[in-house]
Amino acid sequence: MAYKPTKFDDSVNAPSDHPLKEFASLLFYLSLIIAVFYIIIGFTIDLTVSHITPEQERKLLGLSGNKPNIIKKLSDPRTEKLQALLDSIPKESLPKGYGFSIHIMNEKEPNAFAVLGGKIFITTGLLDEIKTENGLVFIIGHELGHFANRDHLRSLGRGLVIAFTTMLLFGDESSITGFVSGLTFGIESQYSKTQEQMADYWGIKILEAKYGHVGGANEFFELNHKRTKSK
Amino acid sequence: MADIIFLVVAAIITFFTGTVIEKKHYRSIRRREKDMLNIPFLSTGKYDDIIPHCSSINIQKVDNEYASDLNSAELVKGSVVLGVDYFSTLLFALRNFFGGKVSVFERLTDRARREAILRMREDSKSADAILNMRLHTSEVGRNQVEVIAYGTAIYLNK
Repeated sequence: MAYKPTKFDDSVNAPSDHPLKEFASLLFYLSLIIAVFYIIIGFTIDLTVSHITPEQERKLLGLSGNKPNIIKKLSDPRTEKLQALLDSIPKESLPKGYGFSIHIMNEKEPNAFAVLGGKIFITTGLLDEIKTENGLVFIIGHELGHFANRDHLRSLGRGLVIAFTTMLLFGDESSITGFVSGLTFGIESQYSKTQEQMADYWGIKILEAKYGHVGGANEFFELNHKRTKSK
Repeated sequence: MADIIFLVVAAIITFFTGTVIEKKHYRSIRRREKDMLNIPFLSTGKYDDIIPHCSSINIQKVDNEYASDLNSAELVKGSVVLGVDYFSTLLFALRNFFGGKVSVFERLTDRARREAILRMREDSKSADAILNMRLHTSEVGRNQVEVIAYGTAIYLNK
């Protein structure tokens, strides 16, 4: 028997599949699966959310150990004034079933949120910018609108479910999970244009219920306009 | 959103760097394999008829003396650790979900095996043959593969 030098054949153990082509096709199938999930989940959530009563919402919050409310409250003397302002809005114009409370959050970025369980958060940045009482009532009314339309539940639902599903499929340490949850949370932390418009409509409604006119509603819009222009 | 952009940019950059590095490595592997084509290396210890100019040596001792035409023998080894680029880990994560052959890692382990064998042979360039060659693979970190090749290099009396 004679020795025959080993010649390695590149094509046997090292297939020359193009990685980019493979990546694109796999990503396509994954996006397809996620899209189907997203549509089904979105549909289910929209259907469910309108049936969840504020009472059930409070119970869910209790069951979850108040986990969604991890935002740190700031003890600020302005909180009481804001709460008094909220309480002074005629009860019959508020969304039914909630006991609303208002809190201040230490954050420069002007913003306000509606959080599970009837909590409204306003950032110090926004309080510094809004000068009039009417402007504040409009913002409170806008957030009340998100409660009335259940937007806070909707937004919580979809992003959470998608992130949770990818976490189950890929494990919480996978780079895919980070990628997908970063993406879906990014989308879901913002409300849609229609949702915002509906909430604005509520802001105006609340203003009218409290003062009998809608003066001061423009302060918030002017602030927004100024900010987008300066960006 | 900023971290998503970072991930995408990192994936694009590492795709290009990974491709260049792989191609360069393969070029080097092929060239060196060609250069060393004349040193036999075998996974068997029986080399009687296989090695040229070496008719019948017995590796066992004969009267407390090694067979005359075997001058010396030594352990030679070559090991390599190769890392995976970020793009490939993304592709792997996707592939892991759907299943199927992971081509990027197949190429990586192929490179690692051949590089380890080459280093082993470079460790004993003057040897007449390397016998009983073995390969072992282990995972070093999360995305690194180590391959070690070792064998017995024999030197014959000329």
